[in-house]
Amino acid sequence: MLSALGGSGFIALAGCASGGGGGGDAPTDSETGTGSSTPTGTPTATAAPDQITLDYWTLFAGGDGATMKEIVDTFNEENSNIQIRRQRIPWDQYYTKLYTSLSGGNPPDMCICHLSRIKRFGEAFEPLTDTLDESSYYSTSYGEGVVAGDLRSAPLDILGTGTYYNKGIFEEAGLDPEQTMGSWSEFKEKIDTVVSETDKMGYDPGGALHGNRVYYPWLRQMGNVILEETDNGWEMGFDNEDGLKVLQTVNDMRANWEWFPKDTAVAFEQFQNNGTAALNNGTWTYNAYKELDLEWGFMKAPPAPGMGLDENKTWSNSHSIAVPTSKNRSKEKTDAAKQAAKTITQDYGLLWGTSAGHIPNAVQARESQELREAPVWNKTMETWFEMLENDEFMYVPRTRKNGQYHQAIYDPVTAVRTGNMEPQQALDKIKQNLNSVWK
Amino acid sequence: MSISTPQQRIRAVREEYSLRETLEGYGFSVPYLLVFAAFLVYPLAYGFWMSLHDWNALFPDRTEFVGLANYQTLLADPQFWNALGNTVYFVVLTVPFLVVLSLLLALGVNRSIKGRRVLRTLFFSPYVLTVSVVGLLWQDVFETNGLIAYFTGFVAEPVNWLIDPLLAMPAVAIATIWWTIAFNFIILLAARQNVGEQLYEAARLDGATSWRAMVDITIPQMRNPMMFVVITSFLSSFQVFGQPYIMTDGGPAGATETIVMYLYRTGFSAREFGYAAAVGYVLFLVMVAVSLVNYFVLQDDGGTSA
Repeated sequence: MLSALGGSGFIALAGCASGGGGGGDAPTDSETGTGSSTPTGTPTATAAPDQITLDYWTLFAGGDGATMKEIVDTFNEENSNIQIRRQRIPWDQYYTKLYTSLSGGNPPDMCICHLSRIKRFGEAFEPLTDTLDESSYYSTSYGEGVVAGDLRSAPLDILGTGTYYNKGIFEEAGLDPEQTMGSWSEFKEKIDTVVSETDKMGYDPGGALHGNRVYYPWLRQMGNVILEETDNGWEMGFDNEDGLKVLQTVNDMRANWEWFPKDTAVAFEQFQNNGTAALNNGTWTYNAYKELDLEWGFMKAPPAPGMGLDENKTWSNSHSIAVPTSKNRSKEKTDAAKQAAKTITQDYGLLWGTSAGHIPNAVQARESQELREAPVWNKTMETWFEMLENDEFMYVPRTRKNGQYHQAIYDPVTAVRTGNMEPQQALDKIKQNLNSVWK
Repeated sequence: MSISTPQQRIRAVREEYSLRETLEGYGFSVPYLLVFAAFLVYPLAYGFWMSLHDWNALFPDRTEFVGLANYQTLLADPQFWNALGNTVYFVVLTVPFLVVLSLLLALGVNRSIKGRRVLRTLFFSPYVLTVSVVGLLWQDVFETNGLIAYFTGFVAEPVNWLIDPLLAMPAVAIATIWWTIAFNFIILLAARQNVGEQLYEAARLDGATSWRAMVDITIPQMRNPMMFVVITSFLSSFQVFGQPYIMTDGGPAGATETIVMYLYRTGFSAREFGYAAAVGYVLFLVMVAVSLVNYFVLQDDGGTSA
């Protein structure tokens, strides 16, 4: 009763906001595309008497959504005794709804959860250690899914970000589009050439959290941590010259090198319209760009300013499938949900990789020949695998307040990006914001 | 005999109605009172209880009583003060315009001018839109390739108002004024139509100018509805949420994060329900203070209309 009514108290105090309500949780570390407002379900056939139906919440839209639908449909065809009823929830509302369903005691039987969020939910998810063998998954991801000694969510993929570039614009600037860029100075020289030799925009790391997916690895490559754990929570790990250097680079990219304009969204949006030479984006981009009428290439994200590819890092996260705990669910149904999570992540991981472009987490999918023969391999996957072998993927710190700490950092970074704050001022503001998060 | 005190009013009611009639009156009130108690009084009390805890909705057994610690933290939280300051700034930007402009519009279309019915409809039409539509519409107007930049682009570099800390809050205020002014406009138009024409006739006979008639008749006669408009505009502006949430998401760098946005973010994004309840209670106290001002000002019933 108490938990079910948890949110009502302060909402009553605030009254109904005069301007009407917004939807849900501000997106903070979601990796999927734009949301639509209508949840979509996969209708199931007439249930057999002993058939188990599992409710499965996902947040995938666009190409990822279509691939997950295909996976669920295939699962339902191949498993007559277990049927999955998929429901898509717009990603900006997803975690609020998931949290509310858990605290209200009526969660779905299975749900997608980013591993960066796992610490918030932790023991509200069923332990999967007995169902999923650690050796079947990428060990780092498996470790990221462990809370209180147990795996709480089955890793579906490995997400990362890199540089997508327009080959036509590189040619127009007199550059070899097939030659990838290694060091920071090489990268900068080529983007500067694009800006000076063409009327196109140079390179955009992206705004808000998206941009942080470039800056976090830079900080790590420079030898810093994002957050340091203390007795009272966490504190800023880059209140130093490196932090300032990264922020100065953010400022230079716009103000001095003119790689992108002041307006956050313009360069990013213009990539598809042949207006931007290169940008930072994630594994999921393959699915969005594969049908694009544009000759694009893919390479690693630029290393930290002034550095080479030694100790290069890329931001990483994983989609995973969890089985929320519920007193109202039978053991039989819970076991079926655990098995379904295992099947989707292992048996259908290959489809998730070849179609959606994410790096499959399960070993059997990652090692399959089919993956290497699929179109995705030459476009992006080969480079992702090279980065995987070099141990370049870095997961951001897992805390109970991931959404907040990302925002505490990206708000001032965005202000630098848009020319509204000086780098040193932003560094101080980040420190103040992070202290506020762990007040 | 005039009845002035509450005690006298109660006595008069007792004398006028039988016990049965009084009970019937209470009986009719009970359903509402039950709903009122369940959906306002109970959450209000429960919210205060929550604000005294480090509330864990997911694992209720981990909820801890912390006394007034949430309030103590709140007073030292720069993000709270930033949100409160932004909210006050928003109130200052919107309330004067919402009152003065709506009064001018009401007085304007009350005159015998051609097409006034069309104008009334036009002035009221934005109010039928939802906050999402209003937010997205004005987002397009203020962005770099938007309507304003299109017209000002000939003389100045196009600017996205919503990413400029100085322009973002005025942009949200403009959108809000455009959207919500219709409510005040309708109230004040009705109030103006309620002012007896004989007063103006008498003034004209005495040689009063239009300005004098407005200052000495219109404004005093519309005093109570205007106070109502001022107070409701203040309350609604203080609770603004949807417009900045959609147009700027509180940015740039927290320049448009309002107190209700902060409450929402703390409660539903960070799930710090106890702390969010404390923010809600501070907001509640401000609302109570404004309501008390409203109550005492309207007690002084100098003139009346509407």
